[in-house]
Amino acid sequence: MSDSLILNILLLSPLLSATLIFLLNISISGVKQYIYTSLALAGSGISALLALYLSYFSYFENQVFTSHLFTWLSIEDFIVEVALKADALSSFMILFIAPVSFLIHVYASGYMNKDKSYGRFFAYFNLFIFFMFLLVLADNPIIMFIGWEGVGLTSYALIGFYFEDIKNTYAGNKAFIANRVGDFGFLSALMLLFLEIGSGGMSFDAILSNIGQIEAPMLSLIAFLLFVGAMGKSAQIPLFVWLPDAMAGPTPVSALIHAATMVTAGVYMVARFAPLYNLTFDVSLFIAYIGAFSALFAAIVATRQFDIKKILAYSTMSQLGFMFMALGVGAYSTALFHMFTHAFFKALLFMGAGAIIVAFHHKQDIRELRGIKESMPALFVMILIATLTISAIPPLSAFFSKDAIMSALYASGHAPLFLMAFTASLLTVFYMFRLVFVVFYSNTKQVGEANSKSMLYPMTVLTIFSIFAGLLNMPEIFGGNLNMSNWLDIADKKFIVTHFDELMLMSINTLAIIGVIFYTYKRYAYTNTIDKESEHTLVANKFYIDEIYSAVVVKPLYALSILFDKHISNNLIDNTIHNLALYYEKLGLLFSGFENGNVRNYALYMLVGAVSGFIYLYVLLRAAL
Amino acid sequence: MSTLSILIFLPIIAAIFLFFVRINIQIVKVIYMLVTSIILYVSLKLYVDFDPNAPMQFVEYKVWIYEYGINYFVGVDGVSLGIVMMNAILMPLVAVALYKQRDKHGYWIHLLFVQGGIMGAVLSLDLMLFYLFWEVMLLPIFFMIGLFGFGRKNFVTMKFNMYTILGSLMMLISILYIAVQYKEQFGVYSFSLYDLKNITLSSTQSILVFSGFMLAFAIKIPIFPFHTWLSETYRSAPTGAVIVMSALMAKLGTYAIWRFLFTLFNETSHAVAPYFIGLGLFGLIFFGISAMNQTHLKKMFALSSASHLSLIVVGFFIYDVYGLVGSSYLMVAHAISSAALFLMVGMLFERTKTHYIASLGGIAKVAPRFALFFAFFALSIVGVPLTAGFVAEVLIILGAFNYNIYIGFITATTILIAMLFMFKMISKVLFGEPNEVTKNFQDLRLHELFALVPLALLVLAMGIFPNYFIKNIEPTAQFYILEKEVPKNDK
Repeated sequence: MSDSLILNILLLSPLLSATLIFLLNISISGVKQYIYTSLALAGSGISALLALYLSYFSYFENQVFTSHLFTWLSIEDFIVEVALKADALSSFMILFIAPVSFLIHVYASGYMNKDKSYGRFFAYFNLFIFFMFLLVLADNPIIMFIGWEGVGLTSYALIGFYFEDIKNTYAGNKAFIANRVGDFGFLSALMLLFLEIGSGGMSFDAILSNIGQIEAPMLSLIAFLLFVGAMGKSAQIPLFVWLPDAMAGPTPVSALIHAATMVTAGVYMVARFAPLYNLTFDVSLFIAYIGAFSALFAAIVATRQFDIKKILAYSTMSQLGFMFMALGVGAYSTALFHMFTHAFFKALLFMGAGAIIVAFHHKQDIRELRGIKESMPALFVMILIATLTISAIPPLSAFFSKDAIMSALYASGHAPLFLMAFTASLLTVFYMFRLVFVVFYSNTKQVGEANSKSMLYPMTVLTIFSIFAGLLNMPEIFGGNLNMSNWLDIADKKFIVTHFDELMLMSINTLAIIGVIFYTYKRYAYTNTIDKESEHTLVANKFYIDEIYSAVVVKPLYALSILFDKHISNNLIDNTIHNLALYYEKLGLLFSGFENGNVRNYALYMLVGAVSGFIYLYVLLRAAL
Repeated sequence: MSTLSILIFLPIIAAIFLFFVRINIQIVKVIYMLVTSIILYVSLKLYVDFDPNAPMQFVEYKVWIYEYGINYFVGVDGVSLGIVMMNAILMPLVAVALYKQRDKHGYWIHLLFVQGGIMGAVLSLDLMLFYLFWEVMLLPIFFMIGLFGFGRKNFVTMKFNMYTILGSLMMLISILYIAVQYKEQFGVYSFSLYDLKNITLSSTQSILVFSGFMLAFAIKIPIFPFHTWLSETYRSAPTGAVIVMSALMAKLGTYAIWRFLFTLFNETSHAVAPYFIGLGLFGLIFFGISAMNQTHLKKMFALSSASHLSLIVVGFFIYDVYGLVGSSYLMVAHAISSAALFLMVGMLFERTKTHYIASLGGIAKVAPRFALFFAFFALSIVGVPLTAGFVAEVLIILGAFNYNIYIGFITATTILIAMLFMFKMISKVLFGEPNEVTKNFQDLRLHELFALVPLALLVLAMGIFPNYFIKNIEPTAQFYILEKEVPKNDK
């Protein structure tokens, strides 16, 4: 197979299966479920296999795959080719996106079993990963933007999947709108980029080799606007509001969106534009602080949530904050590495949550899900491993990735960043173990239904990945050689940390984490502390961010709408026009008063006319004489 | 008869014939379908034969009133081609979708008549001819609203008519004025666009005449603050008329700005461009935000249309190749989407007897196909990727950034504006649990699917392979830019 064919099949097979499922679903009722399943799994399975093939050759032979499909637009200099390119970074992205997506497909075939909208679900699901592939494989940012928006669009459909409850669709609306606010920034940035250097071509290579020609203020503006796009997709302050609500979708959707796809797009984009961000220190620092605040904010909010999916949602936002901190200080491959490990353990956590939810008939409140350890031991082990991973316990994968972020932050010399990251990472341990201890360690007992195998097998695979994914980028202190960083070959800033400092950091970190686990155990395991926690505190209400947004943005917009429509359009302009017409009519009435058909009046008019005629003649004649 | 004359006169002659021959309504519908199908066929042939790189094509020139230089002068270029195609494609599809509901002779006769009128107005290159068709296409709409409309239809149609005629008369005065000026400067009368553009006018004269034309176009489009007839008229108009108005007639207003004002008063147009860009951007936001609070579907879509038309005006007045191509593309893209959407609102009304958003809901559950198409077309108005509107909006935004960075940012809000009302509307109309009104909602019937599927495919094709379509528009825009030697704006 030629290189371009592989890329094309990788991209188009989910689109094809989505189209087939969609056509079947819309035209024939009562299609057997296994037809949908096999189509959906074939679509994502082929992609996953090809993705592995591609990354293999990229990793070991530094091969770059390209493909040119057709010309999208060509107007003067504005030439946009639909071209795909799998360089190291793109190959790295699909290395985890495609397999994790495939595993979630397998899981979803169990989770959605017997759902009446089974076909529709998988049509959206496959379409979603098509857009995600387009996003990471596109060779120019305009096509990337199409994938970027497409991901937002399909997430809208997936979040509002159970549309019978209109609230779910509002959550979908919110996701799309918040994302589009980000897209506004992204698109503006692209337009500016094109106007500055577009005549040199719009492929990433051309852009990144020409950015030196842009003047500093404009470059900063572009960098900032690009990051606005990332804020929307990767749910950072202030555009994160959609993420917790996005839990309205079925759990596989949360697993897909929040682990390996969609939210990773922002991180990918910043890494893709790394040469640009290396030139704009101010924006990079801004990114780091946004990341830090997001990480801390989300971690704090997560400590007082009761919905198992909401806790995980805030955890996602918090972990993304870590990645942006790393990106901001210039440790791009470190951020990508954490994204890589995060994809596995977060997908696993969501799948675990989904398995619990299915087993206990859609209960999601951790206070109602206590004491389920005995009835689902395998699930308990897997969730425990995932929790230990996210807490960065050595030697699980996230230990290496998070530790790399910590030492980069430490070495960058931004003490506030480091402290915020440290606090957030301890809070992570706290809220995750709160979840585990409340749900699994209780004096009460509950028995749920057994989970289907198609749900448990993908989780097993992910558990293995969560444990071992760290090997890919082992730091040299443990005898590794940063394989991944070398493979990606991104313009990383180099941080020199002595082995002693690094070991000290690791030890302090690990000790603190173990301390927090112990504290959490004392506080939540086999106690009823959780029931005493109020739902009405500032933190539990997410600092009233939604209410503030509603008061500051939504309500004024509606007030403005009334002002525009009722007051300006109707009262001011339209009434003026009606009044003009009315005066015209009154003027008509005035004249019609004269023409009243009364002969005597007409005689009077004649008399008046004749007399004034005579007077006029007289005046004329006098003047002549 | 040659191609363009067939396009213009076949529908008009058929309409007049049907008016005088009182025959069975079924036969009227058959003739309507036959005529519009022939028009569609001829237009497709025109599209195939169209040479993208030639300027004005298929030109026909016949002397009409020799003494006053009024001639039958028609031709087509890349920009007018789009509207011709839309006119040809939409008219038969409207009939396919609605033929069961409408059993009045007048409905179909008027639609045929208006099709010919619009073709004439789009293709005219003689100002008197243009004025004639401009008025001709108004009359059928006047009668359609009055005869087949809803609500306070008589008041509304009268207001709409008066308002439009006020503008048209100002345009007529302007046309006559420049014709007289031409006579003074060149010794003969002429109403040909290509002759008249050679006259020299003082700046005051030029601005006055420009305003006369602009008033007519601004009312038709409508541009803020001439929009107050719009939502009531759309609300009262029957489906056929509202489709013609939003998809075709409003576009004619923007098209005429480009065809006549930019050609005749190039310098004045440049000089006033900033004001109209400002007005257009204001309208874009104003109408979009106004739409948020609408409770009536057709009024909401009316304001949504107005918002997009303001964007088209912005694209034209930006005066660069991206803006021109983008606006021309958006005219077509929006014509398809809004026609489809109003068509679906018509189907919705026929099934539920209501236009109010609050009384609908849960349609997706009982009628998934209807919901799918409705959501698709609504989203294509929002301009999601892979739809035609996305391409057009990107181009206009690019042109705006090229013009000025601040204008660029304001124009880019277009990707946010339509969202403000569209998503909530979709949720309320399609989602949730079905209620008393919608629980027996019938899904799309076969003939309705026949009307909607081609439109949906066209929207997708134009969104995925824009280059294929834009290569017909681009040379016209390029040619125009070169001819006018618009100075490149270097930020």
